Amino acid sequence: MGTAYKELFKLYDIIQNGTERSLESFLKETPVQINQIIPCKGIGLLHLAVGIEPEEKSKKCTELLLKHGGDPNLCNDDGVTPVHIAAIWGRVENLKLLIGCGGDPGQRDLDGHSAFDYATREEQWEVFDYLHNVVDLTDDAPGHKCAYTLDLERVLLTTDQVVAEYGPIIDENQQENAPAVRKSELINEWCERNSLAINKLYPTIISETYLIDNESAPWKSTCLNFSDNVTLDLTKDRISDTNTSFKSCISNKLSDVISGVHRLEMTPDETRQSSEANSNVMNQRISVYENFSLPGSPNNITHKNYNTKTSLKKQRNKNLNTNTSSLISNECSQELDNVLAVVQNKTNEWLCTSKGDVAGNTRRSSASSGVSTYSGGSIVLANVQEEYKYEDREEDVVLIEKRLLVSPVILPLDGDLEPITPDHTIVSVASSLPASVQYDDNTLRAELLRLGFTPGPIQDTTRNLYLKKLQALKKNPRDDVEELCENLQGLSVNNNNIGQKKSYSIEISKSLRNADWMNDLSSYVDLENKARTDFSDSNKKWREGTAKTSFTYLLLDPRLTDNLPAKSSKQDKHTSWVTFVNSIFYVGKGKRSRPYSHLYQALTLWKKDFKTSKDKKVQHILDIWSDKVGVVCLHVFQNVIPAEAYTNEAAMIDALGVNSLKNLKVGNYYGVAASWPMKERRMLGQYLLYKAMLIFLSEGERQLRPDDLD
Amino acid sequence: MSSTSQKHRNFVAEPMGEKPVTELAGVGEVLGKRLETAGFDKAYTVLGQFLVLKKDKELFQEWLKDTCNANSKQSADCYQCLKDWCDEFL
Repeated sequence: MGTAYKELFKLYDIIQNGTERSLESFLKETPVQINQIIPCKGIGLLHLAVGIEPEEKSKKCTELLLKHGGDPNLCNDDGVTPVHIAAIWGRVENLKLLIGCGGDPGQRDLDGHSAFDYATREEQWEVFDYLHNVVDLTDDAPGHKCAYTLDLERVLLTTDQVVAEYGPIIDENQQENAPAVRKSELINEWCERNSLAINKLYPTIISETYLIDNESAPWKSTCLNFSDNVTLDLTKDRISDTNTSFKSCISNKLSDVISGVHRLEMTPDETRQSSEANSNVMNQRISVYENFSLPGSPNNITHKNYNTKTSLKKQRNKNLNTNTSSLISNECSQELDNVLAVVQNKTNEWLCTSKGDVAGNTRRSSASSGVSTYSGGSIVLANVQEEYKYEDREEDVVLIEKRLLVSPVILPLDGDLEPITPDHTIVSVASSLPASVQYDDNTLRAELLRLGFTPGPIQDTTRNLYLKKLQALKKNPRDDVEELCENLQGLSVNNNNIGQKKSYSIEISKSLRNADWMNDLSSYVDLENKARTDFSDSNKKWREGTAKTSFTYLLLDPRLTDNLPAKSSKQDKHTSWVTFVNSIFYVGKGKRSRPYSHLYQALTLWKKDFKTSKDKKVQHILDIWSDKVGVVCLHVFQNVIPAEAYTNEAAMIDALGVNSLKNLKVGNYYGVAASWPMKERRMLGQYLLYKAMLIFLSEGERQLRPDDLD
Repeated sequence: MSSTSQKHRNFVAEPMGEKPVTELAGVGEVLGKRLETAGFDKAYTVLGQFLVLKKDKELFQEWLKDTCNANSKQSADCYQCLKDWCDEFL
């Protein structure tokens, strides 16, 4: 023990007088139990490091100690933790790290003061703001301003590699003097002018889809028609716009490999567009996005027209409803949801151009969201993704949100139309796709690696083998997911051993074994209605008031979901449910002013290159980011009062079982649900989860990651 | 599968040198001809392919099937032959 103290004193000395570098090398060479209170000094090393001058060095030292397992909640004899010290000295950066590593700002010292109290007493307002905004989510002041911006960064069309990228070009001149105009009149005007064109557009898409599904004879002629039509419409759309447009930058690497897409580029429409984009950037036109991003009625009408047309209408409608239902007064969320809807339109446009173009001589089933097209050993898998940049300047947070779109084309069709199975696709497509639709070697390698297979050299003599291998791997995505999960975290998605790996509640376990409950949901609906009506009683007083600004969120592991929404049409609901339940690792409650604040702590650590945290949730997020994917963040049951959000949260946690989540504690129930027996609460939770899944499936996957990832 | 053919044992017994492709277990005259047409005239060229595929059984068998229409018995024999040879001499 004596030697250990000697090391400690030496470290103490280094922190106080030495340089960061010497500390780093010392920690590397000598294993020291750093979480000890040093005798005589009365504090631990981390206490010291948090508070020393100059601030730069302090930051560095704190970081180092935390990386070497420093405990942010280590109490000295007065019960003071490093968190307290950071608050007292106003070291916000240190505080962020400490809290990210599991530090508890609510902990009180022996005098009964928490970090909050110290921040107030010492007038460290920066600290106070941070604790207030990020850590303490209980404040839901009505009228709280939106603290973030969410901008569309780009739209990606991928076939496992980026094929085309669209980004909004914003004309600076226009932006300066026209934001007000853009937001209202211009857009309405545009919508009116163009609703006709759009109306014309959709039926054609649908008729085409219909044709694919039926593989009926008049294919060719209709398609030719179709392509004419679309090209015309699109050009009209685009030319009549006046503000912004999409820069289409097809990545060179792939354009010559994937001929289908390459040719898309050569349609008159596209060429025209890109040449225009190049030649007169100053004269840009209104982007389709912009136009739709207003809750104006024209745009809704267009959608609805579309919705009533064919078999696609149902899902489409649902999508729309989800979107519109969350359109409440908050400007941000409105724009966000609308943009989503619009980008889907955009997707459609792309789809039709590409199809119209290719359709002349080939049959392609669908080029979007995870539907695969096979041809003579090569595979085309096209996904449409959008990336949004989420920015919170106050907290200096930038996140990239990636949305994988659920294409309407592959959503389950109702009635007499049968969903396309991959096998059908193979049969109908195999002979007709050009042979040059292929992966290049690098893509192929990356793809195989992603699926957990390490290929040898890919050459002329081996390429086909690996393509087949890839095809085989993709055909059984569930197996891959399993392997992947087992590799990654020793979890298994296998239906049979769920109960053993994760301890779900009885209700959920039962639902995982047997799919029957989905057929009769009435008892669940009753429960939910009961809970909900109670909260809508405005005479009652609720914790944190009655501002409808809260929502419940689920964090999902993308390594387990594996773009579930895109796959859901091809598998039965029960399989989706199992995957969904398995992938959830956190349930929480958030408020609208900062929808992603639950990721801030992890982000703070991520920026500093931490790979571990004592906080289980943060740790899991870091793990996911380390695997180069974003956390799937599902916001559900928007715009409810805090008490209801808490209740929803608690019910879902109980249904899943707190042990199978990264949540630390179970939630609190309010209202009538608080008086229910456990069984009913869990049933409520189960039903809420079920609804969450439906939302997830229709919304598509959204992955959040730091902007510096990959 | 426990017993191996004479051809197998012969092949595995010594370095392959310049042996023709037909010396490989599982590769007879017909397959040998096809392999030759595809440019694989010597046993060591097939070994090359075998190695390039990282001794992966599935892939190698698939390749042999693609290149010379080998059935699964033939390709398995050939795979085992090269595998054993490698264990011995590589």
